[in-house]
Amino acid sequence: MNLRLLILLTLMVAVPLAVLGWLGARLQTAELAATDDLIDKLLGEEIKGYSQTITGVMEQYQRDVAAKLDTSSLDPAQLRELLQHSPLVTQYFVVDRQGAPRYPVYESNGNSTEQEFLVRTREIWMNGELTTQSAPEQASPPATRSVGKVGVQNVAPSQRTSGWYVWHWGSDIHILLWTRRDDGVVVGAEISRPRLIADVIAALSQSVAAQAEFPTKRVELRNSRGDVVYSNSNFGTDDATHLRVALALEYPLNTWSLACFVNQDELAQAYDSEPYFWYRISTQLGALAIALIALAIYLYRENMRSMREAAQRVSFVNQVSHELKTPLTNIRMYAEMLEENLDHADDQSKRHVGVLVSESQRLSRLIANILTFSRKERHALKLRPAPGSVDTCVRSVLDHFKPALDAHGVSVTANFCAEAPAIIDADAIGQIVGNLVSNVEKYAATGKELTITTSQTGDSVTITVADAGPGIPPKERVRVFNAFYRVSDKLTDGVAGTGIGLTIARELARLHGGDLTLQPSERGACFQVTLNCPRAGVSP
Amino acid sequence: MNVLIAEDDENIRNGLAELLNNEGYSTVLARNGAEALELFRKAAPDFVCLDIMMPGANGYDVCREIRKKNANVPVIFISAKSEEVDKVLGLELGADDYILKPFGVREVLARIRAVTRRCLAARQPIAETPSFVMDDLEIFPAELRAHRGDITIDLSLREVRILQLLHARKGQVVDRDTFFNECWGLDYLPNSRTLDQHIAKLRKRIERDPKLPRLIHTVHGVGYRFDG
Repeated sequence: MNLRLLILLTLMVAVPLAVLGWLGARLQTAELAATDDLIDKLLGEEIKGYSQTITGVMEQYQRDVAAKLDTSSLDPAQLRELLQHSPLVTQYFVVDRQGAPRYPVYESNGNSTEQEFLVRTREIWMNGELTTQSAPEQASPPATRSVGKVGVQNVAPSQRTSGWYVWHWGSDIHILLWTRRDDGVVVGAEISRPRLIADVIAALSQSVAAQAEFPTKRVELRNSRGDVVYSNSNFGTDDATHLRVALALEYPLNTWSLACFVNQDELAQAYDSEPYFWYRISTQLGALAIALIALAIYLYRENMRSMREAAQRVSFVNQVSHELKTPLTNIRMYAEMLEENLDHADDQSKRHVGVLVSESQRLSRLIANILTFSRKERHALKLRPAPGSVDTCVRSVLDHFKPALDAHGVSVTANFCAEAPAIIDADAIGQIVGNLVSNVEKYAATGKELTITTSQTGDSVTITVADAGPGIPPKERVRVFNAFYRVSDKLTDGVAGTGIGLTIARELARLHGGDLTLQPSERGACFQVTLNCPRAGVSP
Repeated sequence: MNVLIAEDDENIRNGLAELLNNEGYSTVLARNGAEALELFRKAAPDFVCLDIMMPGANGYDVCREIRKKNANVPVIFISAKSEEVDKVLGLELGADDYILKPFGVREVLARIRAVTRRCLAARQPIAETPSFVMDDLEIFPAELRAHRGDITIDLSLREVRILQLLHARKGQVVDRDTFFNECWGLDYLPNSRTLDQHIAKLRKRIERDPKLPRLIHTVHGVGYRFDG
């Protein structure tokens, strides 16, 4: 098999596959990243929704407590009464304009709940920071993905008329809700933590249950210490389960956070993710590879078939040319023998026989050209150097063409200066000069002149064949040497020719260590043959 | 000289035989390799013209067998096989020359003459066939050549014989029968034109002006004469 063809076909299959594979991988990676981002975005939006639910719970608290405090007096007894009907509140309180608690107050034998409240809140009253605490900037918990911040409206402390106060006590946060009245007195309530957790969990459960975006995900609510306050399922924390998004809740629960865990394997299956991609791209590339290999095999077979057909054509041409030789030998031999014996015949008979001889010789040259060209195509064209004289070869060619040139009225001027014996292939030189003179006969006979000059300097021999015909147009000067190319103007009108004569002549000249060139000339065409012909009998 | 022509195409075989006969050679003809080998044994030819592609034993086989029997007899391949390998093989088998079909008559005769010259040179020393002069032409029979100054003219065996006969009978008319007996052989049955055609061809080659011959004069109704 032709190695170049094999490499070409292999590249034809391998390169598109590699490029498509690489592009597919890149595309899929980008697609996976985009899908990942989209999932994160969706989960983030979902978590944000849960956060808003919890914020809604807190706002509802704010409204409920504010409503109760707005309508109640600041009398401790009434506040205690109100507390009995407020499951949401563990303790109401009143603070004067200086920030000191007016209710409840320290009493040695006071209500234990109130006294415990005062102990819990002592730092607040001492520092006077109840109404000055602001919602902090939110930050995502570490090792989580940021999905945007929940906006918190921060107003300057002096302008606020209500708000939350959060502080840590014991195991978790405690939350106060306060309202400043017109007289500057601040009333407020401590939110019941169990009730808060219960309400938050209830609201969160409802909200999570309403979402069914992902087949398996775990939503967690964690308190300030990181303990799980709520989880929507017992969905495990195995290697395949990863935290996808996390979000801190809004103030006052900003030390709490929501997190969403997703099983990557199930997510991949649900969203046709990476494992499926490789399966899919392998399948697609495999199908493409099969198609390309089939195409390559088809092209290879077509190429082989074309080569076989070309070889058959060449073989056929060879065979036909060879078969033609026997009848042609007879025609030529008998015509020449007849011509030799026509001394006393009439001119018409001599002319008839002359035509037979010259045409049989012309046919011989055509067959020789075809066979030489076929050898050239098979890279089997070689010379058979032997001692001889270039001038003898050229003379012999001119002798052969003399009748034809005479018939066209072409006068031949010959200057022979390459008589010295040299190592030459006489057949090749004969064929070169024969083709050039034949072209003069066919295309330049109107010029009525043929000048042929030979020269010999050392091992270098030059043969120049010039005519006075119409010449060769400048744009055709290179192409005339191409196989099968014929100048398609009036030069060749009505003139037969195979278009391989100059190709063969140049190839033979090059094999002879020289070249065939078309020289610039004032009129007609001038072909120059250069040959390397070592002198015979001269030691190198 | 006796030439064996082995060629399967009848027309080529007969044409070659006619050419060689006209040149003064006698010929034996074979249609295939087996016949060629048989005739080679029987006729002991002076040289052999062989086609390559023949039925049965091909030309290469025949050449190989001939070389086993006689290392010196000249062999010329005349074949349509034009590939380099064919020519090389033929020459490697000991052929003296390789002529490609379709050949020109002049080419094939020139090559046969060249082989004949080598044959004659090997067979008889040049001293035994001295050169002779006719006017400004010096003839060398052993070389089958004549020289006029720097010009060399190739001659056939028969042409040499004709010139030898005319030179030997300088100033005398040589009649047609004498020509045929001396130059063609007693068993040859000539037609009326054969001698005239030969003389005409010879004049073309050796006379300065064939229309005003100085070497071979026509004596109408009798024959030809060399005046010296």
